[in-house]
Amino acid sequence: MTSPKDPKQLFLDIKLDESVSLENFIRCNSTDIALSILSNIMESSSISNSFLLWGRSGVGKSYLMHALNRDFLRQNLNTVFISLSDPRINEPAILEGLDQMDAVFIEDVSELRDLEDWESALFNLINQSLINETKLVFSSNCVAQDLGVTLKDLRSRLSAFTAVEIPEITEKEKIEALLQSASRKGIELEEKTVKYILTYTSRNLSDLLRLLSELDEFSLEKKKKLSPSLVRELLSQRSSNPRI
Amino acid sequence: MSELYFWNECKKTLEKDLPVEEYSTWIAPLLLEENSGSTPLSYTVLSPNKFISDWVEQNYGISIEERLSAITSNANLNLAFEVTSNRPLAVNNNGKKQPNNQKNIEKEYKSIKSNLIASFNFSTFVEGKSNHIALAASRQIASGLKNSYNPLFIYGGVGLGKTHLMHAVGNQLKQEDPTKKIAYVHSEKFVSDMVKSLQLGAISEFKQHYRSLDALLIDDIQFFAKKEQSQEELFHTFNSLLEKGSQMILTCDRYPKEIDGLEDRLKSRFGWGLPVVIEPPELETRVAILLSKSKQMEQELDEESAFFIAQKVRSNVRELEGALKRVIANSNFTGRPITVDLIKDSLKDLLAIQARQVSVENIQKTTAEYYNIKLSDLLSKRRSRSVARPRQMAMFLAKELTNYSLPEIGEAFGGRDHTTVIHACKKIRELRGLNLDIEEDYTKLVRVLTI
Repeated sequence: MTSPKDPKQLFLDIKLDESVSLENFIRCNSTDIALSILSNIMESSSISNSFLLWGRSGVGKSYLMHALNRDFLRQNLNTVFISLSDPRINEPAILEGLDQMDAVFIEDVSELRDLEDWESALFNLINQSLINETKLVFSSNCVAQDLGVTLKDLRSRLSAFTAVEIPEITEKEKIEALLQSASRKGIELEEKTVKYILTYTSRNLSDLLRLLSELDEFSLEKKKKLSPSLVRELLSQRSSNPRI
Repeated sequence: MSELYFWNECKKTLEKDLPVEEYSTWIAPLLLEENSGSTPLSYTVLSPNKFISDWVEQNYGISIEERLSAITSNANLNLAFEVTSNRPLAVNNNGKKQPNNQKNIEKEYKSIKSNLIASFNFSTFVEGKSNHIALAASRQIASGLKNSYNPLFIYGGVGLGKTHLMHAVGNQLKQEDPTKKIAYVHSEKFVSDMVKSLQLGAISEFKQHYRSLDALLIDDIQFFAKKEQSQEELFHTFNSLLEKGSQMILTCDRYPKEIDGLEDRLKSRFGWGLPVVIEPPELETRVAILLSKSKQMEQELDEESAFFIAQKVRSNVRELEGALKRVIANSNFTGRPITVDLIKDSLKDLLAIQARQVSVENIQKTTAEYYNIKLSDLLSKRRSRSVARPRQMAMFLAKELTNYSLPEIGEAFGGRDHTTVIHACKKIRELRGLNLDIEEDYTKLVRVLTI
């Protein structure tokens, strides 16, 4: 088991600081509608109490879920965030009684395939949340109809969620995302460095943004300006294969 | 419970020190309660469930205690870990349950709410051919006609409005006589509450609560299957309520006698009153549902757009509602009016899934090929057995494998009446039990069609 003094980092090691917010997510043509819908989730005029953020791996669903959670916490609301990919979360009993919260975030519901107990627990949570008007925000790599859930009552309830697609952004938008993120961190990022990053690393948006944070720390540590050679140096340190 | 200021301070320090996943999962949902009158001062960290409570105690217990001691400058601080739901609950201003200090399980049951959802009422329920008998029976019960149908047993597939109807009856009964004790409960919740009551030694309060109601609405009764102890309790609750003339409304995904793993005495009792079915809504009803829901959401939806969505989303009302919300959200945030083009953009993934599903046309073609007859014969008016039996099989498969309503299937088979489809389905169902060839044909065709 993980101790808080010696935490085992299983996911993105991001602290709940001001940088995790809807405002700081890349806003471009591809993400504009999704961000507009999400920014309205907390409003009383919100179209629904249950949302399913779906999209391919690496498009930023996790970031957006945490950003939304942060908005709820800022309003002093009780929330809980459960990632079904987290190996520590290994019993459906973790979903019991969560309808008493103001909002429940469940990441990666696509992990539920063929797990009868988990499906029943999630089904109960949705039923009770409907009665208690608890906001539910789930994420998945596909729409509810494609989830492969065995319990048809659960599938039907998930299909009533307001599905919000988090789309994959274009190459041009990825460059823009990197530049925007760099600018927020006060990093000077030249075009040749961006080109190098996009050529030699994962083009997944989450990986790119994480790499930028690492590069920021690496350049401070090395006291060197961010350049293609510095990126190469970091990548070679990470692995013998420069491609992530 | 007054918010303990130093608890917020403690959470802030943990928020600062822990990765976001750690904080959001384990720390954010915790509450702190002061144990009144304790010397030295002691506090209880409350978690929403035992899993979180155990994890927090094991992994963060010392850290939380150290932080609280430092913040309060109290080296002898005692800290306990408990589950919120094991304590009696009071409702706070946000309508959410918060723990209080009274350890009285009986009170919790006495103060339990009806769990009725106000928006599920008769005015928001759209009537159609698929549900008008169930609606009429529900209205009759809601009008207060004592024991007109008891129990009312509403059955049908998922997402067709069974829950909505039972809430509508409950809401009207409550509206006409607010003193009436009415409770809605999902079967799974009934079972889990019973288990919890047994664990807490409060089973007599549990029994007393349910047996004292004027109306008990239990949703998705099929979830009692294979849960023997819960069935036993349900049986006695059922008898007790019926004896005192209380109304029971039950919903299920199938006819009482078809519920596997349910005691015969319960099946028999469920059939005492009136079993009414809700079928999947036909096209016209789906359009009416969409128009009604968009009106409730104060959104403009013209008939052409409603018709387009209704044609594409056939399975159930929940899916229809999910699709409508997506379209409305897209319209609101792009500023585009709702048109067929916007719907196509908003639902492109859903439409692709629908296209993948088994179509009636495919069933007709595959069945005709299997029996070696012409497709045109299958759709013709010919009644010779060599054509009629494959046609009945294809109709039965269409009913089984697609979300088409009976009239829609009839229409797809050369404009036949829905009663012809009912007859075909009944015939094939009978023959499958009597004739091994028919059963084999059915199995092979399903395999071919669903690969």
